[in-house]
Amino acid sequence: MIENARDRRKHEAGLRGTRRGQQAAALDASGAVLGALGLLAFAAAFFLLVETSVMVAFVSASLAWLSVSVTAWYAWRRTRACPERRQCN
Amino acid sequence: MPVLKDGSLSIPWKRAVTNMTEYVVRFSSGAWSFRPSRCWGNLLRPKSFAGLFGAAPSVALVTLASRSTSTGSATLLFQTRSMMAGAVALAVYCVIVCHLLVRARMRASLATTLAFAVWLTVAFGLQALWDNVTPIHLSFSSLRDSRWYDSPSGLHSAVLSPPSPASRVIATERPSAVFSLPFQRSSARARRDRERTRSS
Repeated sequence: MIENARDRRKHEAGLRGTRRGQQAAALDASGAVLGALGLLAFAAAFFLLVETSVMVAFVSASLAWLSVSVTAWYAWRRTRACPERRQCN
Repeated sequence: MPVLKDGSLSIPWKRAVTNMTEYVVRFSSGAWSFRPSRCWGNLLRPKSFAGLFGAAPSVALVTLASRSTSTGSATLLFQTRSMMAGAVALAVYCVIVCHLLVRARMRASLATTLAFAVWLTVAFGLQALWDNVTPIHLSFSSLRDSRWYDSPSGLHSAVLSPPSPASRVIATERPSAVFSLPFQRSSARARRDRERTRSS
């Protein structure tokens, strides 16, 4: 979907847009890798806390997902993607 | 579909219909809960940050919520364990998709199709590895005083006769190969118990 959307926009501007679409999809996939780490934290937190209380496990697991994925994204952006604080979307 | 004389369904069919209804509810509610996270993903910038929402636990939340209302915490433990394997597989899948798109310059549809095979391999491989490496710990407090007996349905080699509803859920709803070894062991134990009762 992301690739097609980028392709369409570039086609409308009179360009091919294939490469741009692939790059956009790859960028989304790289974000999803970090999201998957968050998902792992979600499952681990739920696994550890479900015997205490299901509600506590839900809240903690959601917080774990949010904090781990955002922290991982921030660390990835600082170290790999934009080490010199360049504008990169 | 076998219908009894009073018009009701037989027990295996009732169970099958209930399970199917549950799957349909989970599938549809999971799909609907995925939409907001995907919308956030389309709205947010930068694009890599938006990608985080592509792996949002929306389906996981719906599944666990629906399960937590109907079953005990022990079943949720099994589900989250499989979820961890799925999360690792998803991370590997996304890395491979990313590399195929950037380095091999494939179309997204082809890259995702190829990487899906890797996802399947990693997910089921981890699951199998976990099942083989770690023994099944039936050390949940509710199962401590359980006894074993043969299952009349034939779906499992044996099930538990649990003292609490939480452990009954495990016994009846997880008839997978994961449990084959402990159940076989327990089946022998149950046979010994039956022989003892007969002799007494």
